[in-house]
Amino acid sequence: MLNSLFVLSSLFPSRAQTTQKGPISVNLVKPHRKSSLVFLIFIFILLLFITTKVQASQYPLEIDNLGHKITYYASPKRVVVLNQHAIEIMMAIGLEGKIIGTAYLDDEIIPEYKEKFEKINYLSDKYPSQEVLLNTDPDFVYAGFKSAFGTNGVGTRDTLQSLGINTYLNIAHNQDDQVNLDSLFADFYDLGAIFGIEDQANDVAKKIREEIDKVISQIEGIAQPVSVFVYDSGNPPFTAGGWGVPNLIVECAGGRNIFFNLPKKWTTVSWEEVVAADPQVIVLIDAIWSPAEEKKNFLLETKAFRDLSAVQNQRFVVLPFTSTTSVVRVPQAIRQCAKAFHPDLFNE
Amino acid sequence: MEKSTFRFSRIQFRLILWGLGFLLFFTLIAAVAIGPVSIPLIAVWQIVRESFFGSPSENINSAYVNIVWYLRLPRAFQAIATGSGLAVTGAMMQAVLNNPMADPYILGISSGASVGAVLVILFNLFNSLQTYALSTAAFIGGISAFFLVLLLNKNRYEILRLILSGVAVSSALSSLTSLLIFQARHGEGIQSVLFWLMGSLARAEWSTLPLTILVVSFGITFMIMSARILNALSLGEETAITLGVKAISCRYSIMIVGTLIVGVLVAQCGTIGFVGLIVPHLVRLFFGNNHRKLIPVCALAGSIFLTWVDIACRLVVKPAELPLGILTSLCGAPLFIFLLDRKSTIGIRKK
Repeated sequence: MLNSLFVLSSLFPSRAQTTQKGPISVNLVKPHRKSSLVFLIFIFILLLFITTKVQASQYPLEIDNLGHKITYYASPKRVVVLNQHAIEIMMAIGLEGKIIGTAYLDDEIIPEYKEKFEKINYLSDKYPSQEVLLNTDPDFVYAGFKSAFGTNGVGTRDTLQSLGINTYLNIAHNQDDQVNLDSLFADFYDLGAIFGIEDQANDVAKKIREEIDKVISQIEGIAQPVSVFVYDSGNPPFTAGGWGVPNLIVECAGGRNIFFNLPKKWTTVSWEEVVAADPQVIVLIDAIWSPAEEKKNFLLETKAFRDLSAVQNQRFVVLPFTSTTSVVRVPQAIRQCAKAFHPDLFNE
Repeated sequence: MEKSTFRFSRIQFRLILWGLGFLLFFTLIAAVAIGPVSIPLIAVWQIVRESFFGSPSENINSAYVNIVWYLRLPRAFQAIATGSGLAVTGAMMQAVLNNPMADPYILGISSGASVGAVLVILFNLFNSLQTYALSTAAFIGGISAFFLVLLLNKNRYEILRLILSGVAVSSALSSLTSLLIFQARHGEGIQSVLFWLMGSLARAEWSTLPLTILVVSFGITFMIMSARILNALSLGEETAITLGVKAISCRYSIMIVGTLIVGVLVAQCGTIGFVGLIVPHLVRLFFGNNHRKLIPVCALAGSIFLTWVDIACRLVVKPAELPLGILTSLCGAPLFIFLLDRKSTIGIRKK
């Protein structure tokens, strides 16, 4: 220790030493002092530069997630992810290494992620119970739907917080507002900050956004959006209101959801309204529990719908349910809808 | 049970029936004319008239034709049939079981039907959108639950035991329904289940109407013809026997007829609460417990009430739609409590 101090002092000769050695040595030292000053300033500027650049990812970091303010003191290391779209977002930004458990898939995972996904412990087909969750010893839970923290979920956000588990809820599907192209990507920015990989997350978001913008620019020339009815399931029909992702997909693809002015994500409407609105295209949501083919047959066979433009011209688009939930799949969904809405613009 | 507050002469009663009949006709017109989409009354009339005598002319908006003729009219008829069917079977159950808390579903029909319906809707056993698949499953479920209750009471003739085993079977089957809902993969499907469980007339179609109307009108006729027996049974088993009614055999045959009616209705519209429980009591407040009067008035009052509630369901949150069961209780309960109070004060004054 003393040795090293001695070495250091010999490297940086003190002012007292230099003055003792007369004018010559002063001349010798002067340029040396100058350069060290420049060096110090350079270091200072560099430090300043680095600190401003990394500022956002410096912990502690407070993230406001749908009104839940949570302070992060370090990047989470053991993450449990619930619901398909949350899992796919995590994998899209390359955080699969941090995931120690997943649950609640609605459908197959995107093929590119499949190999990585299968290495992760899949806890349950629905939400795991709180005990099962705690058993994995997570420090962060990321969920796609509010129900994950509801009665049949893994426990409330406050409960988990008190157990030292931070939580994050997907914004696009749970905000009390209309989803738009910015809030669709909110998770990417927040997770980037929380995990300290902002650039990486932003790049992925940017790429997905660019794909969407490409389709939007392709349909720029349309005179008028086509009117669209989104049929999820049921009788009376369960359909997309103006607040959810399906509505956003339809809008971006050059369509106009006939129920765009309903301030809800999904809602049940009267058939009467559907018949009166006379949609030109019907988007059928396809899911294992409610196949699109059935709904199509029902629409084609029921007399009340025989005069609908979409039925007469057989203009149906089949969208997998997951493409209305998972941001990663949204560009593909928009492209598919745009092609069906405006086939003349996509002659390939 | 309660004594009649008002005494009506034969002619007065006839007039009341005619009045209610007229009101029902007016209700039917309203149900066809009023909806979330506003259609001019003249167009509605033209569509109904021309569709009745063939196909409507080209100059009418085809969307209007489809709405009025294929959506509203079958739905209105379904509301009328369902309302009267439920009210009448409710009155019947209360008499037969000699219990004011009885309703058409008390012997497990609705919970059995729910299991069938939920299986179809959530697990997509058959095509859940086809009216037949869902109705068949619900009908089979409901009827088997009822016969299970009967089987549990084989060789035993206590009413209380019958009711209690009905309640037990109901709650077991309700739990089964909840389990099925919980096991279902997808949250959105639950919305459809909710609509079915809370009752909805949106499935009404011309093709299924004849069966419903036939069954319900047969049921009403049967109940009016059994009015004397119902009167005797509602006085209690022993009194009925002393009056010369074969209490046990009559009770079962009436109950089975009633259950078949309810089974058909539940299969098409789901569980619509309140109508079958309260409408009979409501009618009893004014007309007493004579089933010769009670049954026809119940039929008319039930259908008028349910049709108006359905109109409200379509309008209140338009363009969205509410499940029927929510509004029947929400509108009906305060009305009933109000009348209950009025009745007791009237009763005191009379004394």
